[in-house]
Amino acid sequence: MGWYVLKRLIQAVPLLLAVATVTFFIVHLAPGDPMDMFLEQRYRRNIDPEVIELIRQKYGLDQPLHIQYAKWIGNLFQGDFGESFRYRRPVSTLIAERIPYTLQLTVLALLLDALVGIAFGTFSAVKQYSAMDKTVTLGSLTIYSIPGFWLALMLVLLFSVNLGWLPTSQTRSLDYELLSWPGKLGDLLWHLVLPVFVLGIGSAAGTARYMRNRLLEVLSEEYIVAARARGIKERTVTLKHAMRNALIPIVTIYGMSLPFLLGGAVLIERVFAWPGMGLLAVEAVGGRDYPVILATSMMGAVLVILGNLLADILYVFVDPRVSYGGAKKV
Amino acid sequence: MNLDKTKPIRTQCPTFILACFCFIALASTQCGRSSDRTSDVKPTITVLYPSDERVLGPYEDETPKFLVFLPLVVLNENGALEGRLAKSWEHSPDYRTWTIHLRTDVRWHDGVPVTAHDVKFTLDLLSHPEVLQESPDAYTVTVLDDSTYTITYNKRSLNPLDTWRIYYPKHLLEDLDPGNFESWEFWTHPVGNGPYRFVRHAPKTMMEFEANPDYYRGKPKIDRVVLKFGGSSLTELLSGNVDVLTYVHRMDLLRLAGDPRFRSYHAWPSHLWLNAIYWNHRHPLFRDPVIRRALTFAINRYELAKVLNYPDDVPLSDVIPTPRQLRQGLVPAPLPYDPQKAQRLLDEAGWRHLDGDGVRERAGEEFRFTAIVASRVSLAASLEKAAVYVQSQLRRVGVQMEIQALENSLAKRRLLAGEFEAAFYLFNSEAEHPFGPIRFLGEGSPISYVNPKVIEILNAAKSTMNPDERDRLYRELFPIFHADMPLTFLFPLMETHVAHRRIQGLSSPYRPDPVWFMEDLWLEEED
Repeated sequence: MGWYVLKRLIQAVPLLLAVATVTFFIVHLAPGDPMDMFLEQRYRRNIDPEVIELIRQKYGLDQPLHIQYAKWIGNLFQGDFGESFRYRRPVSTLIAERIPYTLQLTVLALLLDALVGIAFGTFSAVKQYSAMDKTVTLGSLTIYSIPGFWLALMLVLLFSVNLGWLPTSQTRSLDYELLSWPGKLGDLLWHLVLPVFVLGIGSAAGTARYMRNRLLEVLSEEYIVAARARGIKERTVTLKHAMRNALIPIVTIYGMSLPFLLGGAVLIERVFAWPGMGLLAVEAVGGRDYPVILATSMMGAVLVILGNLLADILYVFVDPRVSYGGAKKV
Repeated sequence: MNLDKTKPIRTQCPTFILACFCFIALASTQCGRSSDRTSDVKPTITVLYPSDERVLGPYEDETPKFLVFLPLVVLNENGALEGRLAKSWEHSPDYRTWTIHLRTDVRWHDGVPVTAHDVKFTLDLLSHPEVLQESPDAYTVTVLDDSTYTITYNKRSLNPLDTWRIYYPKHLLEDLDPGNFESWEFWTHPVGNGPYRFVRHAPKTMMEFEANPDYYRGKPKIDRVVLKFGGSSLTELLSGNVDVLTYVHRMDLLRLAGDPRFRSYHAWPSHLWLNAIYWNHRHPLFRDPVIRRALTFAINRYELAKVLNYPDDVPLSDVIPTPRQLRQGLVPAPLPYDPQKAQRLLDEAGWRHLDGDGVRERAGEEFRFTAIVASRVSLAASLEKAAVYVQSQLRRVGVQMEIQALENSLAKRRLLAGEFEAAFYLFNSEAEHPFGPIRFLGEGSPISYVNPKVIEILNAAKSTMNPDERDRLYRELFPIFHADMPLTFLFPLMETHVAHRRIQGLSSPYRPDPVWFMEDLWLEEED
């Protein structure tokens, strides 16, 4: 297993280099000038065109593209993502500030997705054709079809504006700093309720449907029939034998969800004014903030590679037939 | 297949249920509390601001900085200059050298007096090669005494005595590295000289300020100001979490129409942005100024402004005024809406209805063109809606305009390259602005407008710092613009802010931004 992981990581290097190169040239060849941000209407004072040109030189934007690429790749290998054109701060600092906020959201959303989706999918499969099954099927189809941002806005309207039960936006209350630590924890969780719910419930609906279908397939397999014939309890048959096989593709899906952890909540971040990575990346694209665009793209690529690797590793635990570094077990 | 029917389902997933219970229990400790209701003891205003704690930093260029720092001058409610840090000022005949006399009763919030050395330090810092807020060697500052300095502009300055520049404490910042300028902790823990003092901040959440009891104009009536960071969101206002929304889109105001709790205030930015239709003069349809005037006659711009929820006093114009001319109302009236005249001019130019399809023709060619429109160019611009409205207006006079919406950067590139037939975009009134008169009406104009007289006037306007001379030069352009109509101006960009009705002291167009003029506001007691 160790050699397998090492081999995959080594293989990832040329792949990441290719991603970096393609991303760099695509971003730079797209129309738009990063210095256009100084022409934005939010600037009340007209910026001296000479200053704009000096800033362009400072960031090397006046250099030929291949020179810019060489410098950027060289810095990348040293872990230096450069400085944001818009914020004039190191990109790594910007990202480090925002990652915790995004992870709070997406990790909890993934947990909600997994717990609720798998649970309801299992119940639905076990109680096939029952009222509960129909309810779960219809409900998951409905929720899956609803755009996340619309659901978010409706929930905000109901629970925040009309009922006043939950906050409208942000990660914490204005007087958060004055709270005791249990109060702070409660405040954080209180602010997480709506965005986590919106982000997680849509995915959970999809997971529930997938889990249901997958479990129904597995429950009709011959080895399940044989297990029942041997007198094994139904609960053991379902949870120990059937679910484990049904979970194999779902493990793949969650492994591939790793990139989602950092960039999959843009719309929700916008609705709830959540200062996360997704929002940073989208604003960077709109403002042609090349260093931020490139850094977030590279992070996404790394996460995809790691996600794939994680999914492959998890296979070993979920499916004992799978082994790396040796013959397949029979 | 069934689960164990002797036990309820809920007991078969104890861990999951327990986890849900804990989550809900913790979260419910906050239910019912009004988390963003700040202190009810002191007069407090909570403002939703689309930024974060860097809002006081040098690159964000936002009005909250005026809570903490003073500029040299401000515009009063009548649009006239009024001193703040500066008590009085003189200038040389060519406006290139200014002598500023500072007030002697202003102190930094740590008690140290504000002096001319602070001003020199700031201006030198801003022109530092690592900071690049101003062009190096743009000016030379000489301190004459603690309260007097001169500044000589080596290059023409667009902002000689502007209302926007603020100044920083030399005694706190002179030892810091300009290379880390944007990362200085000072921006999140500022020590200013303005009406409010910084109290605390929560990252990505809020900043709190308290009234400065030692402020030279007297302690402000609003004791406490909280900036809550987030997008412009009516839900925050409607839910009572904030008292003020800044930079509200005009169309969003429709949702507040008739709501007696709130008032809206508007202003036009000091350097004027105009929504405009750029006609490409290389295109055969738009070479003739008569045609351009005809198309302008065909558009009801006052109704368009109304459709976009602009106030009735929106200043419309066919010329480019200076901000001062606009403030003083010295802008000639625009061409009126006159579709009959538009039709007559088009008829005279040979464009007639021939085949009954509603589109005019001439020599076998239809009067049909495509206009590119930049989408989402700014929060305030409504170019797409304006384009749709103009399309319908032109259709009534037999002109068919197709609309091609493009991403902002792409639209900008095509506009600057002259690769368009007509374009809806913003135009800046400042002579040297990259989207201003010299770029589009001077030599190498992307719209291929060539008028040597205009080029001569614009170059003269570019080189003078005398505002009276600049006004005079712009006035010379007025009749030329009326005759040539190189662009059709629709309506200016507008800033709109919404405040709870209990906040008093605001007015349009010179006192619209509560954050900018917080020191002059007060709260009206509600019944």
